[in-house]
Amino acid sequence: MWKDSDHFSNKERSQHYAIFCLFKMGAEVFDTDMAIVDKTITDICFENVTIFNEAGPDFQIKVEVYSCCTEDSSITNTPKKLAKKLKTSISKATGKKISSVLQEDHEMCLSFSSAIYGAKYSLLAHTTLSLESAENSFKTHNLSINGDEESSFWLPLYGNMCCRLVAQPACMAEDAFAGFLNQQQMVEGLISWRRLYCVLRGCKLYCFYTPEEIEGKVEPALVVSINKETRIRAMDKDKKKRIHNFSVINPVAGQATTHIFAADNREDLQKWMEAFWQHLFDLSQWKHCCEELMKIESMSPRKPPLFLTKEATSVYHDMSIDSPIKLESLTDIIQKKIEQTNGEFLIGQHEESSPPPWATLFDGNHQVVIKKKVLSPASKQLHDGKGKKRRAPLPPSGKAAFSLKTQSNTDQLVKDNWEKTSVSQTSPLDTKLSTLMHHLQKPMAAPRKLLPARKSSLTDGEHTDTKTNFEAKPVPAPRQKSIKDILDPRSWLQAHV
Amino acid sequence: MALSLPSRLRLLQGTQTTHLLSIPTHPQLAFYLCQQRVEIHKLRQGENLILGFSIGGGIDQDPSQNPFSEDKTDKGIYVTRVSEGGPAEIAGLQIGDKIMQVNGWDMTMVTHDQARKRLTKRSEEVVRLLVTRQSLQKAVQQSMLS
Repeated sequence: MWKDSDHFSNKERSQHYAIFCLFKMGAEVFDTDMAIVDKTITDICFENVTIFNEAGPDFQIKVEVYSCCTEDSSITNTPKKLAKKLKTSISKATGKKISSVLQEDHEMCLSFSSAIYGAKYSLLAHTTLSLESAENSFKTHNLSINGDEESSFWLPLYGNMCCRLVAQPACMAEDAFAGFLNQQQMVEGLISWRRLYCVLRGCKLYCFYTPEEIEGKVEPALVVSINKETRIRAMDKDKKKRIHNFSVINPVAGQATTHIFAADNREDLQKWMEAFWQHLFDLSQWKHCCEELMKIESMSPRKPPLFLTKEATSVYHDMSIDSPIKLESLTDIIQKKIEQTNGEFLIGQHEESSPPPWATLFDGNHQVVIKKKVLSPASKQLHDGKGKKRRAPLPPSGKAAFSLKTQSNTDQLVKDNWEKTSVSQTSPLDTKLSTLMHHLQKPMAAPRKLLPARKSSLTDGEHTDTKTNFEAKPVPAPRQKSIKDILDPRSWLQAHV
Repeated sequence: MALSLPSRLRLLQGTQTTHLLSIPTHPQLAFYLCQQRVEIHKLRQGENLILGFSIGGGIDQDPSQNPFSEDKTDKGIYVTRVSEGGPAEIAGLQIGDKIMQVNGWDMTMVTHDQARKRLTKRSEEVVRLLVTRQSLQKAVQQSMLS
């Protein structure tokens, strides 16, 4: 609840808050997407569906709301910061041009996340949900709010949270037990038996003639409800010495309906009894969740919000963190400009002899990121097979580095095989920042697509920079392919010893 | 997972021939690793010393074609054939065994050719293998349940 004046007249100050929720149960913690709010927003909605598997009936879900106040108009300021950095690291002319370009684009994810990175979130409100709150519809819960108006992270919350907590106990969602049973039928005074395939699930025993009927979605021949009123009793020997009988008695509206079943042998009877007992126990534990199966909705894919589409005039249109190809657009533009102005673009207005572009690296007052790249180009090749985006292999000068370190490459390669998931989790932000810096510092270099760094920190010391390679197109070294073949063949040999 | 196995083997070296590695939490879901130590005395046949079995596998081989492995990404060395009456059969090696070590050398992270070479060293007349066997799994399972 914002104050009226703040809500309606928010022209001057754009104070933004970043807010998200955490759901904790035991050792599992899930979060929602981040929402950015300012004084124009009256409700905060999180559209996520969170699923906790393996919850017992005594579960406690702690819901916590965290918020952080971002600096005044920091989102729009950050491009300025980045632009300032660029201004001092390359010649003034280029820097000015780039910074003016950057200022037009307010939706750069790059700038935004670097603003929030390192921000401290404080607990704004919390509440706990348990089995009583689980219901098939939305319910409102009270939130206990921390902090007060003086806190930096304060948001005037109304104190309520609406959510839909659904519990799907296993006894409802899955088959508790299934098997063949013989059912006794009285037909005109004669006892006869028919064989049915019975499935115990969700307070009911469904009986089909064959298990295939379930897949065929045929109506069950018989449905017996199993609830707390039901009495199940194993029967003693009868005259025909069938000792594996049990009866299911359901008092329905005053009239007791009895069904008599027979298991095939002692063990089956035992198992059915245990299954019934377990099922009834589960029902007592999960209480009202067992009346009807609650559905868990899956999120439907939504169109991205309209503001992400950009005008064509911006240099950074369609720029996304994940695709290196887009980064190249900047170098392409710079290169084109170099060609157009015959080098004047970089040199600026100077009349005296222009220093070579890479001389700026040695000025001493620039931020230079020298990275040594040891590479396992083969590892990258393997990734291709796994459906990731295709990246061009190293330029030939990288081959020297490769041949010197074959042993370590094999080790890395082997590690790649066993730790497939680790490589994909590098922080794209740092990689892109460094590649951006790289590109801007060495505009004469060929437009090459850099491989993702293996570790996420910028100051990692394991990469050699392939410098002064002015070839237009990198040619894949044939050696790399043969290694790939050796280590990923389609044969399985046998040797006799 | 295979990477961590050799370090676990070293901790459990002892005098018994059979070791039970993992404590199962659920009888049906446990992965039993019973190890067997097999000492093969090579047989001289003319100029060669033979052991009398065949191996398959290696980090340079395609693991999905291994008929003996439970995990089809396992690139270890498996015994694919044991010749009748040969030194390997006499020593108790069985088809389907996964060779973990040969005379102390690791065999879980080697190429096919490296594996073959480690077994056929002319200077060694006896090779002591550490193998893992799946067939013992069921016997142990039954003894645990009864």
